[in-house]
Amino acid sequence: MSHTSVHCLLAALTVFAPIALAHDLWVERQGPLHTLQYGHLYSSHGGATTVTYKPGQVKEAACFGHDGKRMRAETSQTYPVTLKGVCAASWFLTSSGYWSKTPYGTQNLGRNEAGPVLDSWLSVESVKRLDHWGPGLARPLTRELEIVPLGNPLELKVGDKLRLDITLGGKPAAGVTVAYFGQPRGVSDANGQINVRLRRPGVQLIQASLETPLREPGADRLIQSTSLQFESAP
Amino acid sequence: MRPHTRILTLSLALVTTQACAHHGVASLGAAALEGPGAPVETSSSATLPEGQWLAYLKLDHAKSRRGILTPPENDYNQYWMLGLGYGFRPWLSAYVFQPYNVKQDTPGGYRSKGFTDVSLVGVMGFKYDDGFLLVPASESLDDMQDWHFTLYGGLSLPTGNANHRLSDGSIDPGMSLGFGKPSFSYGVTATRQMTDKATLVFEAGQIRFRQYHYDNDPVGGNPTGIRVRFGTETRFNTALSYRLVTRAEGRFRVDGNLELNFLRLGRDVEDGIPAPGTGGDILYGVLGTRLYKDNMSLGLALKKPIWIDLNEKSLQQGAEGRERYRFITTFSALF
Repeated sequence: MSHTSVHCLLAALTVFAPIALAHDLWVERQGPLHTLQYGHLYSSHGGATTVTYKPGQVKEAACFGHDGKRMRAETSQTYPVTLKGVCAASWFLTSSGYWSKTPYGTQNLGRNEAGPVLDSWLSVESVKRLDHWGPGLARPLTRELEIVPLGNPLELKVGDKLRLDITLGGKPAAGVTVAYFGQPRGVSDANGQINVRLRRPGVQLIQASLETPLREPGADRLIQSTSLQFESAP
Repeated sequence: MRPHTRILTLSLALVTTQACAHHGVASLGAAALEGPGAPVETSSSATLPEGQWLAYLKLDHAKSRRGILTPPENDYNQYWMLGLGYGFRPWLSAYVFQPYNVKQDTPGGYRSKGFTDVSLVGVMGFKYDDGFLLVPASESLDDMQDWHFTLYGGLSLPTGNANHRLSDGSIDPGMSLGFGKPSFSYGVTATRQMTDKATLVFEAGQIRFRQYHYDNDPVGGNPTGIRVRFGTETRFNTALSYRLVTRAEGRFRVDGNLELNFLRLGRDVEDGIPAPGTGGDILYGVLGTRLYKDNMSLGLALKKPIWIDLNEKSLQQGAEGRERYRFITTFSALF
């Protein structure tokens, strides 16, 4: 998985320009089969619709029921990574590892491996897809950076406001930048909350990104990004 | 009494200072670039971010229509205003203003200039989002597209010299550097960002004056002084602000503004008698632009009366509604 997705998201959010994400992380579903995809399906950036990633970058694939509890599901180990189960919510956590910006280009290596380094970071990305709703889904399902709808988003229509909690470690995370299809819409408040208005019908993609210092030999920063995907009411 | 242009002590354009003033800026730079616009004259529903200051400077240059009275006639008046605002809460801002006026009177060609009454204004902001609530500390760009409202109220303090004497020793209340007594203002604004680029603003407000007994003025024909109560000023303003240019990298934005400002001036009362040549209705058209750069904002507007119904308008040379144009410049900075 390319580092550019996270990097471009951060760049976009830093300058707060209406720059579309370079890459998207999303889940396609056919019956009980949830397939993790990566590419340019929703962003305005040109390029192939899907981009191949290494299955080993997928650190976690999980299936949740209406009550927010984990359910048993089968996970494939080949590209594209799939999750098989009747999930109210499916979750994929990926990491492309350490990245270092050097005078010779950006390399998928840690700071301690890349020679002279100008900048370095650890990239962690995730996506949560909602197909059904239940009260248990109005709570964080993981301890990663996560976008949590406070109400049933599947009932929303274009123009409606989606009320969200942004959580990290299962607790509200303030100051996280949130985007709608790559367009920054604001940052979460002191309670981790933010509202985003749906602007187009069909598939919805809400994204959040957080950068924190990292005291590891491999990188100076941890860049976490996450997406919430669902389909709004017709 | 000579025809006069009254001092708008509580020029409530203050609240229009700039969209940058909105609390959203503190949370997301794009708010200033993509958030609601702010007209130049009509007060928008922006409040200051909590804990931040706003510095504000305004110049209103009113060029008078001439050929109404026997010369010399009023040529122009200038209204300067220096302001400082502070956000006590995301929903509560307060301002202090110090006006400075330059006025040229008719028919004698007298001038008066100087600092006038200091004014204080408080602004309370609220919004509608599945119910009315006070403006929160942080809003997304989508929250900013909700209806926002402000209630404002203020008063002027008689710090200026109401008994300022012209060069011939007379006192003309219309040329004075203060009202002698506090005046009171209040109003409401409503703002809705209709699209990513277009913002609609509405405002209604009033300024009420109290009667003041001026000093003895034998030169002006009032040996025991004159008692004057200026007529109430009522405003109904509406404006459309449209974002024309956005340069995210340079944090630069340009808006175009189109405004309609209705002003009803009550007739002044002098020694208990309604004064001729005062009061009436005016509808101004305002065409303006607002430029944003970082934490600063520059507003420019040309304001012209497009319809007037003045009392004894032939006596009102140099008064509101009898301008050829008003050129308004505002500058504000948030820090």
